[in-house]
Amino acid sequence: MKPLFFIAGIALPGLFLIQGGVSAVQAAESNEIVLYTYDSILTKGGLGEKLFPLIEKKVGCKIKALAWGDAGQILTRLQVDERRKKPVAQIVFGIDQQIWPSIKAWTEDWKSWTPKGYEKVGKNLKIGNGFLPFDYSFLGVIANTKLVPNRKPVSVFDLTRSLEGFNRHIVLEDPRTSTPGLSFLLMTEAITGSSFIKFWKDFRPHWLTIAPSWSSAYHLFIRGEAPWVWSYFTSQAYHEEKTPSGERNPYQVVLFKEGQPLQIEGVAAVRGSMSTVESRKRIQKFLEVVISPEAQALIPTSNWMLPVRSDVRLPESFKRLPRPLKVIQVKTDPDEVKQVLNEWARSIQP
Amino acid sequence: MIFFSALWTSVAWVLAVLVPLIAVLSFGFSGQSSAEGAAGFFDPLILSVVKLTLVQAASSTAICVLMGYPLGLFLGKWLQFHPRSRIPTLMALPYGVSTLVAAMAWIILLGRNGVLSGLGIFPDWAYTLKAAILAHVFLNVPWVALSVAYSRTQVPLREIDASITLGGSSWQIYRFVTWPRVKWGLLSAAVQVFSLCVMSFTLVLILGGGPPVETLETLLYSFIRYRALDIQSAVICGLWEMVLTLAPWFVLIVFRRWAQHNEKGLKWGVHFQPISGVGPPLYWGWLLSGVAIFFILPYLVVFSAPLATWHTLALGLIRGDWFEALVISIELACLSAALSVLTAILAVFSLKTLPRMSPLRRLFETLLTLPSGLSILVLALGFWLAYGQWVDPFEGSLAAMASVQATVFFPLAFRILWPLSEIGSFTQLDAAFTLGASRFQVFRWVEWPRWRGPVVSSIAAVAGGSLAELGAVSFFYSEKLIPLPLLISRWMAKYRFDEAQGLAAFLLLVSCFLIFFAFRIGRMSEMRGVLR
Repeated sequence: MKPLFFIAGIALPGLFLIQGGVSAVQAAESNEIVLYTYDSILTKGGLGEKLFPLIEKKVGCKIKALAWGDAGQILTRLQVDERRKKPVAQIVFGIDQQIWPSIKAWTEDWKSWTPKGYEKVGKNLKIGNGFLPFDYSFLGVIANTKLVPNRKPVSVFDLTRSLEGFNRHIVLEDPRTSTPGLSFLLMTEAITGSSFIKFWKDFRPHWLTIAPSWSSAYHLFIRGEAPWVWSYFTSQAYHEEKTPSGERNPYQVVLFKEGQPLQIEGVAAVRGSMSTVESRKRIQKFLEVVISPEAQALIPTSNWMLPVRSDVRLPESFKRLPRPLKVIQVKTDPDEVKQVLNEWARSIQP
Repeated sequence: MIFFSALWTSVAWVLAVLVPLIAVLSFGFSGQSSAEGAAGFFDPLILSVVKLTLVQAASSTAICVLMGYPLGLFLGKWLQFHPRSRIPTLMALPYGVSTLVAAMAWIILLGRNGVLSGLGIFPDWAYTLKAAILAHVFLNVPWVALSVAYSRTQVPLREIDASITLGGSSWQIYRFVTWPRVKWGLLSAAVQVFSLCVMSFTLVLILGGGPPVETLETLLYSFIRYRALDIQSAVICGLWEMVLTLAPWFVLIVFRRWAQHNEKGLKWGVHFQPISGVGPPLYWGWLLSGVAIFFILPYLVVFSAPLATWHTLALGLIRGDWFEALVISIELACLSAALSVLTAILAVFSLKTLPRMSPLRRLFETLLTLPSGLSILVLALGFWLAYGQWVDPFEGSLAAMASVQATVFFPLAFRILWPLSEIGSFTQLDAAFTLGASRFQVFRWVEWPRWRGPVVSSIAAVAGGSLAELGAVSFFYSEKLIPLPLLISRWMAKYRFDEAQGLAAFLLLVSCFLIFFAFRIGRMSEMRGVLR
């Protein structure tokens, strides 16, 4: 018995230390760029699989991509790194314009430098110095037209009524854990203004569920649980690409008369990552490749979003996406967003 | 040996429970005054979630007790006459059902396009509190029934015979003979179910319909997994959870100690002693089997994925789409089981040296089973904060996943093994030593036959639980370290819904097999021990 316990006593804590030890290494290698990103970028067939080798080739570096959850959690990660005094990443890849005001303090300013090709990026997609947009999509209602044929624009206030015989007709995402969910909440705040709380109280009996993530919400929608879901415009393009030729794609965007919010995804250099001339050059080159035509052409069918460069050839399904009647500007100040979230949480209590 | 066991157990408890808890508390309350801390604790939003958590857990527990108690009494009586019955094994299968699989199954059943709707039954319960309670009931009724049944098997039949001879009515027999033996089994099962429902995460998250149907665990998740890390609020949720889960245990322990003074003369029967005489009619067996199958039936709908899905999954396995995830899940289950069962064995070794009724022994027992009242998310967060220098959630760490899982499943292994410390084959040990057997021979031929069944049982039970667990896994995964439950949710995120359902069916099959195996081996060894 004794040798067994002795081996176990040494081996198990040893395993723990070896596993842990691996995570502490990294970064220092001169040609390595460590980046934080969200999960789906790194999945099989995802954008990372095609984009990162391209960057490695063009920049002459080795990319180490680390993912955890969704875009919002990258901020959590940077906060924890700072508290632990253990910076790891040089790049954050996949942050959006909502999170940008909160994350800005952890990133590098470009100062007078601008990336090559930045002039090709749409004016309305440029958020500020330091944030390089790489893709975007409008957010809106995707309707299953097999269940509800109507595709005409509706008002946000129509959400507080039953829909063609459907009670609880829309699937939403939780604004605290999902980026599209937060955009929806802030859009309703921007549209309803002072009647925000009344709107959500009236709306309460009419949503089917507030799912924790976009993926779980969309799963329910695809299963036919509700005729509407809050999603990306580009979901329509996805379904169109997957619909067999000759058949009609039943999943279509329904516009709001009041307009739609926009999600812009971007990339930024982490504070301190451009401290030497060599590292600055490497990071700058990295950013330039991200908005190069070659890299941007990968966006539509790898990340199912629209590329930010206007000169990139789009698949037909993307060309057919509707244009919003208006673009809604939502709050981005972290304190204001927190206040809206608190009001919302109170308004939906029974 | 005793010293090593005690040292290992103490060090493991300090490193896996105490240090993470201190890390969470100190991180959560650093730089806060006591007034600020108290204000956060009684924040109206958090209090409303506490209220809903209580309502949800209390309703689920009440229904589980109402259904599980009579079922347990019938099953217990049946087992006294049919100790080799497979019904308890069937009844234990829901324990191996991952909550992710359960949630998926209930959506397939209750959803608007679901199976029940297709049959013309449309209660429109999906995405409401009712759905979450229904799912909790199906998972936990068998657990209550099993606990009551085991207590019921210990009612000495001689006493029942004597009561009948003396003209006692059925009610009097129940009141004075059965109830005193089964009440603790029922109460501890009820407290266990209540704790599980308080800590319920996936089922409430997916089936409850989202806010305002929230529990402390889902609120805690939103504080630590998104945007600005709000550890203070997460810690407050964790503390409320600890209050709600540990307070009933504490009351039960105190009440039991007080009650034991009045029960000194109580005689207990022997587990599964074969009894001659007329038992319950044979149709009881069929009925009880039917009920046991009824509680596993809802999950079988995950096998309803289209035929093409199975073909795609089989091809995917060959291509390596999910082979890696399968291997990681198996590695994780093996590691978690090894860690928790090894520690549980050593804990039993060291605790059995303490006097049976001593307060110190009770204290250690309570401390060791503390993780069953802790949220896995709180524990994982504490683990990360405490050992973040070595364990980085972004890098992924199999060791961290296994450590947190082993900590959470340790009480289960400990409870399976702990009865071994109560029954000792002292006569056989004495005889073996007198006959000149070496320590190894004594262990091999006297001790190991007693331990083998419960050890294999606990390994299989922890491995089954580990395969289905999602909390620790979602905290310490990385792109190169994705176990099966996580891969299912990832596939859902990539529009691969049918394949996710197919994989869920596979996961259900494997974890249920392990639980089946655990219970079969455990019960067979229990019977061998009695028959010997």
